[in-house]
This record gives sequence, structure tokens and C-alpha cells, in this order.
Amino acid sequence: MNKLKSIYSSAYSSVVTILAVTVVTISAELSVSFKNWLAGFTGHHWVTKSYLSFIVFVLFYIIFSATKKSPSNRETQKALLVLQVFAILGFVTILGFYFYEFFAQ
Amino acid sequence: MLEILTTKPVLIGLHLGFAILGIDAFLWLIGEIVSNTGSSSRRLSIGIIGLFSYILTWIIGGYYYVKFYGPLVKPIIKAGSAPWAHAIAMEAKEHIFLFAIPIAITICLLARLNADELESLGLKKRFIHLTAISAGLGLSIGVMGFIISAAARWGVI
Repeated sequence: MNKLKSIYSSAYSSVVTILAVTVVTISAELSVSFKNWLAGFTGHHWVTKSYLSFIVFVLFYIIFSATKKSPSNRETQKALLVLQVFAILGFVTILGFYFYEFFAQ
Repeated sequence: MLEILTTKPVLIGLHLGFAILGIDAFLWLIGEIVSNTGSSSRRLSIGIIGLFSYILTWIIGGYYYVKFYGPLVKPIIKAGSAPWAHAIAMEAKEHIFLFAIPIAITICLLARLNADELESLGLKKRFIHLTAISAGLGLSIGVMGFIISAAARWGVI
């Protein structure tokens, strides 16, 4: 079922996007040179991260679509559950990191 | 016209307005899924309204953030009584928002399934939870935006 395949691919590419945004965000805060390197592409580190999130999502959507022929409903349920968990974890991790960074200074 | 649209108060208003529209669309969508009312095309239309609202608030808010917030607002907040509003709320808000679009796309893809397909595939509960997360992300980002605006206002008093 093509609908399931697109949902499955979108869910897992969203998970990869959330992971990439979280890792890049925290890495950029810990390394000024990395943050400046990101800013060098577009003039602003956040704009680069925005483009990056879009590129990662599209790229992994294509990869998951190409590698998974026909996911079952159980596999699609699992993909959506993983996405929910990573969305919440990503939220808590980024917010928690900035709390930590502010109060640790 | 473009001159008015790109002024600071109008940009903030559009950023907030589209964010509210997106959140409302996803809350409406939850009601549609829970009650099993409406066709899949109606649910898809609501999902697309939510997705495009989030995309527009992203572009408008991003333009405001890069062009005006950094040079004009950020220094006021950092020098004011609540510098944490930038260091925590703004920093978290601008990055957490990047989760919102992929999740909204996934919601739109789920919205193509009709009520019978959602039940038979066992995806209804997951669909409701993911849409609630999307609306919740939007609401929490809205709260952070309110804190940032309040910190900027109090920063100049």
C-alpha cells in the first residue's frame, strides 16, 4: 500500500531530521568554530540549520522509500511511535540543554 | 504593499497569526479523527491548512528573526531583567520549531487514510497522538514567544 509506505518513510525521515537538528544545535553551542562554519553557508547559523533540516528530511524520505518496499501496518505503527518518542525527547533535550547552559555559566 | 508587510509589527502579527491558524487546524483535525466525522479529503484539507500555516509562520518568523530580532531585540533582552528569555526561550524555540514541519508533513500523509483504513490498520490512536504532539509543540513555542516579547517590552522600561 503506497499510503503506508509514504507514512512510514515520512515518520522515519522525521526522526532522522529531529536527531540531526538536535545534534547540530547542541554541537554548534559547544563549538564556536562549528557555529561560525554553519553561519558561513548562508550568513546565519539558524538559516543553515533550516535548510539542513529540509535537505535531511527529503533525502531520508527518498532513502526510506527506496529501501522499504511495502511496510506492514505494524511497522508503520512502530514508525509513528518512534517519531512521537523522538519528538518529545528532542524537545526535552534542546530545552534542557539551554536551561543547563544558562545556569551552568 | 510589500513595504507594509515587511515592517516589524506586521511581521510579528503574521508570524503569530499563522502559528495560531496552524495550531487550530491540528486541534480541529484531532476532533475530526476522534469523532470519525468528515471525509478523508476534508481531513487532508485541514492537515494541509496546518502544514502551510506552519511553513508560513516559519518563513515569516525566520525573516523577522534574522533581519530584526538579532540586531534590535536580542541586545535589549540580554541587557534587561530577564536575559534568560533569549538564552533559554528563544534559543529553544527557534530550534524546536524545525521539528514541526516534518511532523506536519507526516500528519498530512496520515490524513489521506479514511476512517475505516485508520481503524483496520490500527493507526487511529497514533494519528491522534502525533497530531496532539504537533499542536502541543506549536502551543509551547507560542508560550516561549510570549515570554520573549514580554522580556523585550520589560527590557526597555
